Amino acid sequence: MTAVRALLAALAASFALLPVAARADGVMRVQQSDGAVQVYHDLKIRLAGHTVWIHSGDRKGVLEVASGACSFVRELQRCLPYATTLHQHGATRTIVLQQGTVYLNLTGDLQRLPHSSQQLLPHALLLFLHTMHGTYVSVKGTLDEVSS
Amino acid sequence: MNRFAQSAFVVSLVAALPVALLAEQPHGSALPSRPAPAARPEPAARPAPAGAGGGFNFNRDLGGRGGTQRGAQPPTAGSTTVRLPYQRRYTGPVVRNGRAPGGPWGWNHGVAWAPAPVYWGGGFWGPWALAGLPTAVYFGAIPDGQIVYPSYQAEPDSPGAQLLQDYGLQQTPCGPPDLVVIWGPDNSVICAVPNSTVGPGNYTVDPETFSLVSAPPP
Repeated sequence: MTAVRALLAALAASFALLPVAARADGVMRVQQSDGAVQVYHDLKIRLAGHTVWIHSGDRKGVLEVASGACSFVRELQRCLPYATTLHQHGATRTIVLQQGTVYLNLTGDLQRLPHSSQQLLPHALLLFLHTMHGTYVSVKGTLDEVSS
Repeated sequence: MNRFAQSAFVVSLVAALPVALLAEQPHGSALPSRPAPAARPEPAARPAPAGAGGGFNFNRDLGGRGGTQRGAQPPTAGSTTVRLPYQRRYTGPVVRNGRAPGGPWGWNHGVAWAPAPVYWGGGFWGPWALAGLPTAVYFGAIPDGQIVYPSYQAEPDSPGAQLLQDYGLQQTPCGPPDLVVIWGPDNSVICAVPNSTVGPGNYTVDPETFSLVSAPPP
């Protein structure tokens, strides 16, 4: 009986670990106009309506990306970002965008990206931004939270 | 804890971890989702974060004044700041789109479509940023009094291209007379060769039903 109880406890512990292992796996690559590249790991990605919130791994910065014109390419949702805001160090600053694209796979299956051999994971996001100052930003990762 | 319980605990931990690590591998590879640092180091990659105090480093984009995002207000219904993306709304006969799925926004998987402000036509005809329009293919223009409305080629995967396909319309440069002239969001316009379904004239798009609405007869 003790062994069964211990087994159940172990199983419960392993299930409790699953979400932790699966969360905050986002990666952001920022390439400045001078060619310098910075890569950020362990990002938490939250989708609220058509707005994406990207939390830095140290939880000290949040990039908010508002999108519109959401349509579908087969089952893959594609939106166009139009406003980007950085919330950091107690300040809110606008990052002026030139253009970008957000791909969202809200299904439970892998989805192929348009005209590409690459696939997007279930419940995952792929985001590209090009700012007015020539910075290229790409973000890829699993959606940690989705709300309407 | 006895030996059996210890074994069960270890086995369950080992069994749980690879599930998350394997999630991104379409071919079932056991590689972790994050690229191995030794594989191909990116040129000039710097450890992050580089910003003072942590967070993200967007200093080049935040230099000087914060700047204002043109048209950054989301087009929220019921808001006092709501823009009017469909300046032209005709009330003439509707040319029903027989190929669009039924129901509200059925053509868009039931998701309401709203224009994205910094793109030509709100992004309906493709991801053509207003700041980068010279890279889009110019497709004539429509003069309206003192204003000339430029037209650009619709991107194949865009909702606008899907609309043209549903009606069997072929886009053509605006300018010549007797074309199908379709006014989209944000005073965008494209032209098409008339066919047996859609005759020459002015139309607007009903975004919810994905149908064309013709201008009322004079």
